[in-house]
Amino acid sequence: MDLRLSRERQARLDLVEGLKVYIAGQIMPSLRQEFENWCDAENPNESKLRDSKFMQEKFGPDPLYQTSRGLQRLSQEAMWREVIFGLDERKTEIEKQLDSDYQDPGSLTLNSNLPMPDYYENNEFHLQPGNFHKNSIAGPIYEVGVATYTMHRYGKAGDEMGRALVSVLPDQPFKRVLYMGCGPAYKSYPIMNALPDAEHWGIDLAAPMLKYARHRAVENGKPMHFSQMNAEDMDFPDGHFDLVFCMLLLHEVPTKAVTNIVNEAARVLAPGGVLANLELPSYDSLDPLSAFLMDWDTEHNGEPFWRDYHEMDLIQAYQDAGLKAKMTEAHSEWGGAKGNYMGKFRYHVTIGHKP
Amino acid sequence: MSVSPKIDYFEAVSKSDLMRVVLALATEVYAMRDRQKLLEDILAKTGADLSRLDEPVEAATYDEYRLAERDEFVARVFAAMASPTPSG
Repeated sequence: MDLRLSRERQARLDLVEGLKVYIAGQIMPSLRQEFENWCDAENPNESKLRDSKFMQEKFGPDPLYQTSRGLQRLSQEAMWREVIFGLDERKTEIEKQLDSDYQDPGSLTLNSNLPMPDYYENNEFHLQPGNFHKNSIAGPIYEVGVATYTMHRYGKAGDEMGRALVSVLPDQPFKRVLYMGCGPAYKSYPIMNALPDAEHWGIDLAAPMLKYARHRAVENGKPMHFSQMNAEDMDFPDGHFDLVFCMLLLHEVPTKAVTNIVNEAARVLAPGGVLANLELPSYDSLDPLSAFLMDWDTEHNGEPFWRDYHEMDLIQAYQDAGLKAKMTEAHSEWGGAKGNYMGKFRYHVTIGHKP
Repeated sequence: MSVSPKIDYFEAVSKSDLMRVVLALATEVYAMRDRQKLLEDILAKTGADLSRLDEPVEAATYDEYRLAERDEFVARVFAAMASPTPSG
């Protein structure tokens, strides 16, 4: 599906992306310099810098901090507005394509009776209007929006994260693979490329996402099976998969749901199977200013469970589910890019082996 | 009509709302500016085919010329935000 916008609509979106680049490249370095000057002058101890209440009291009234946060929020609102404006002029044509009845390898199974959890029904992740499940073209909106949101640092194919995950997967045969919270699923294409003989499945709560995922998979020759399910309570039998993975899923759900998902993943894994969860780096692996800025998303960017996720013990949750767990890091091209407020970072991947 | 610089007519108005207006305005101006530039290019050459104005395009990220134009424009419009003055 050609998701390019008409020139005028793309120009509007370009402006918003330009503002995001400006925030990251001009305003954030000034804020960091201000922070470092203050640290040099006051020499506050590490525990204070890791105390979000203390940091908020210090930087909350600061004009530069307010500017960075205000523009970040407004650019996010404007981004979704312009993406939707851009794609809405082709909405009928896009909906028709998404409704195609494909006979290609792979499949799509929707469940219109699947209840949406409250945490999903009542949130708009990353401020995307209508969330992932209330707009028929939420999939294309997500793809264009995320490319802009990340200032195109996931690469033109948007699959940077999948490539990172492939780089740290254990070298063992995986015959049946499950991607939980797959969304449009293009991030998993590197995993499909690395495991061409495996049977690939993707599940998600949102029907619009799955319809787009199926359309995109057919277009890209990816024989993936898509099913509308809740990762907390899947329909698959015990021991069905050799590899279960997710990317940036667990920080979007409450702690109880994280535990449920890990337990459910462990259930559907066969003995010897692997659970892999790729996420952004933990607060304590970042410098205090980056961690403080990252935490801001919890209240201001449609990430209500972000803080809870970073404070929970995921390794313990894996172990409680009967998995042997360890955390490893994966190279991030995005995390190495210039102008990233978190500085250089690597993805954190929690790997669990089922005995 | 003279205007006293001492009066802040928007004292009780949310600064976030003001910034929303600024951002919306910048978006409009930028889109018009971009479209105008393309129109001028077309007319300068032949004065003919205007259908290009509605053609789909890649993001400016993938077009060196448009990317430079965008970043220069953003830097000019938002220059005041790089070192904001405290209110009051």
